[in-house]
Amino acid sequence: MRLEATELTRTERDLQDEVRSWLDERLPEGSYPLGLGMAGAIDPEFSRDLGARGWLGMSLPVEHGGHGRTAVDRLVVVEALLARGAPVGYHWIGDRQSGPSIAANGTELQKKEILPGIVSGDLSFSIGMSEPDSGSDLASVRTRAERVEGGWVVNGSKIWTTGAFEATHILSLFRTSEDRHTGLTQFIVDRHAPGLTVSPIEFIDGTRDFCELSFVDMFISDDWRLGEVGSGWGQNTGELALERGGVDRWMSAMPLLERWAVRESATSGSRATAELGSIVARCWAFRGMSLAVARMVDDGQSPVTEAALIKEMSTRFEQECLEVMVRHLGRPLRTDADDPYERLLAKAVQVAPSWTIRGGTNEILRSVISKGLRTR
Amino acid sequence: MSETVRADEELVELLEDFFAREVTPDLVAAAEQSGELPSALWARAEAVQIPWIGIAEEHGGVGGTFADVVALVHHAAYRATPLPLLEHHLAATLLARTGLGHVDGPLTVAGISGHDDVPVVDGAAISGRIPAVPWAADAAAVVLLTRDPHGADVVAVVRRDDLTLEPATDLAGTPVPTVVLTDASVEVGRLDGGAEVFLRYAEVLRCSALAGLLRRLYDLTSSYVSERHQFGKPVGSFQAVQIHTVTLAQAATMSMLSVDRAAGAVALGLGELEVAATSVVVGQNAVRAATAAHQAHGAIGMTREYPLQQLTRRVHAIRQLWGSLTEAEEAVGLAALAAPRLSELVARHPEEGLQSA
Repeated sequence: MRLEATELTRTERDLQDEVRSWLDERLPEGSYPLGLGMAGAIDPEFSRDLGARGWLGMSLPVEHGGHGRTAVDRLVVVEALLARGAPVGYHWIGDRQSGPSIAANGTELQKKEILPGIVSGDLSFSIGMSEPDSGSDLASVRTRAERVEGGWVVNGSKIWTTGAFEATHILSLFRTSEDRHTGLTQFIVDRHAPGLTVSPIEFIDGTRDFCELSFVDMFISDDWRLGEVGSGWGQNTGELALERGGVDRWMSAMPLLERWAVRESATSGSRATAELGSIVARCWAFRGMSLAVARMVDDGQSPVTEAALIKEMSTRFEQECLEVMVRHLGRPLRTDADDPYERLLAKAVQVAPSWTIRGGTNEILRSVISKGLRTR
Repeated sequence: MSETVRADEELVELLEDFFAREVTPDLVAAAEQSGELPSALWARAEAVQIPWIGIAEEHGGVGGTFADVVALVHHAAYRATPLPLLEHHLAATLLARTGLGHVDGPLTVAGISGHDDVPVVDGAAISGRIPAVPWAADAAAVVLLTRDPHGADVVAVVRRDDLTLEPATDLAGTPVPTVVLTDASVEVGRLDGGAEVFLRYAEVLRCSALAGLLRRLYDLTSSYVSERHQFGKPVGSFQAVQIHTVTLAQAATMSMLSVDRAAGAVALGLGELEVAATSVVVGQNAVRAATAAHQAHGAIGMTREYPLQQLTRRVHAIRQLWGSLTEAEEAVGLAALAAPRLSELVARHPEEGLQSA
């Protein structure tokens, strides 16, 4: 496997400058809760401000309000946001995957109704995939959508659905027949539809973004079926495949690393300097890989194996970064510490195991990579 | 425009074919056994001008870009080629940059390593000891990067007849004698642009050699685990073994890309951060890859009959050839401590090196 070396063009660097300057104004230090990568805070107002700048739904088609820009442009914006630990929670999933999926698979009505809201930052998406008995084995989902006059009636439950409580929509995968893979269909579910109950599940750090969804005779019009009946499996797996190589897979700890570097510059011993160097060198290398994959996407290629290869190692790297910082702190972490750095580190240590689980566990990814490499 | 670093495609094909055809594991083993340069192989490489790729025609080379040289070193290392191609290229480059003129090869180079103090050159003679000079017994001349008494970076050429050797061998079985100079006569030239730019250039090539070795470790291991059967199926079908091939693919892919990016920065005359970061990640990946390759192979990989050891011993021989991995990490760490924002250092364009320089 070979990735082609690439750097940002002059225009892309201008965009980078523009986003950074805007963030300097919009998110002064201390004015927002620092986030850990894609798990940044939910802040609809910030999302709408980003949308107003044209920095959401960047790659969506212009006729539906999108900006027809490239995957690399989006990488530039996302990288600047994650570097600051920006509150990206409200728009993250819609911007990253639901929007592009609806643009690719949706009807004219769906595109017209949904995409402008993703671009403006008004809509928030969540992904209804896992069920109590279906995690990595996604093809085993059992929540059923039964055909009725004009639509479908859904019964069952989804679990571990991040952000569902605050979301406006949930892109869900339901069983529409008994065929394992071809019996699955995606639907765009209104979060407030009668028959759907969303209950938060307390997360390891005490937050309540994780949710359980219960569907009891929820009616959904056939207008909100995404793609053909039975094509849900392919659409669903395709959605995440290319995003696995994104900068969000190695930047979760970046706001912490920034602050750790500042602390170390005051007291730096040579061991800490070497450890920092090792971390920065790997960030630089991962960024090169993410950028190369984004260029491949813009080039019309489908770097599924490459993206999985990056995610499997860069998420482990994120966890290793934490361990270095924790050791340098050298005492038990406190979530009620006065020091915001320590509070964020304490949160990170708790949530970090999710980094190698969400979006495809490392075990699943190794199978994806091995299969991909064998067929080359 | 996005800058890309790409070697000439026809040249890459020629290099792949040449090394695949000429450099067999048996030849590598025989060279190690004899402790001498396989001179017939060198002559065949010379016949297709491989040692002169990347050296301008006016300096006796055949021209080519830096990316071409990166490819040359990569493909030579991929086959564990027992020739001083890297050393010869660096020596010829130093001669070209100092205007010392063309010297017929094979050449070797000294003074690149940060491990050793090399003798200072004063006037037209030089005395002192230089440890671990690859292939010095078989080279027509040693090209030494050193300083004059005023501290200026200079290059000194010592001909084979003017030096004596104390034999030594590295972990890969390559002869790396200590060169002993006793009032040896030298030609000296001043290195324009200073040593630092040249050392970055050299370091990218060393990393390219490691990346070539890592790609071969991946290829060799992935074919072995698909052929080797245990418990009635290929061992590569076990997830526990797949971890190793995935590790190897990651190590090779990241290393090759990093080398290409660093080469792009060096081609602009820059690359301080890019080269140091590449040294770090390639050095780290090299160890992980060697470990994974051995683990996936099991016992057969531990034998001299099987070629894995020719690769992994070379990994260990060159992974800290000119400096320690910890030093490379510290260099990046110091850059990070000096940067206003870590994330912006990581995301900087190579040209931004101009502003900080």
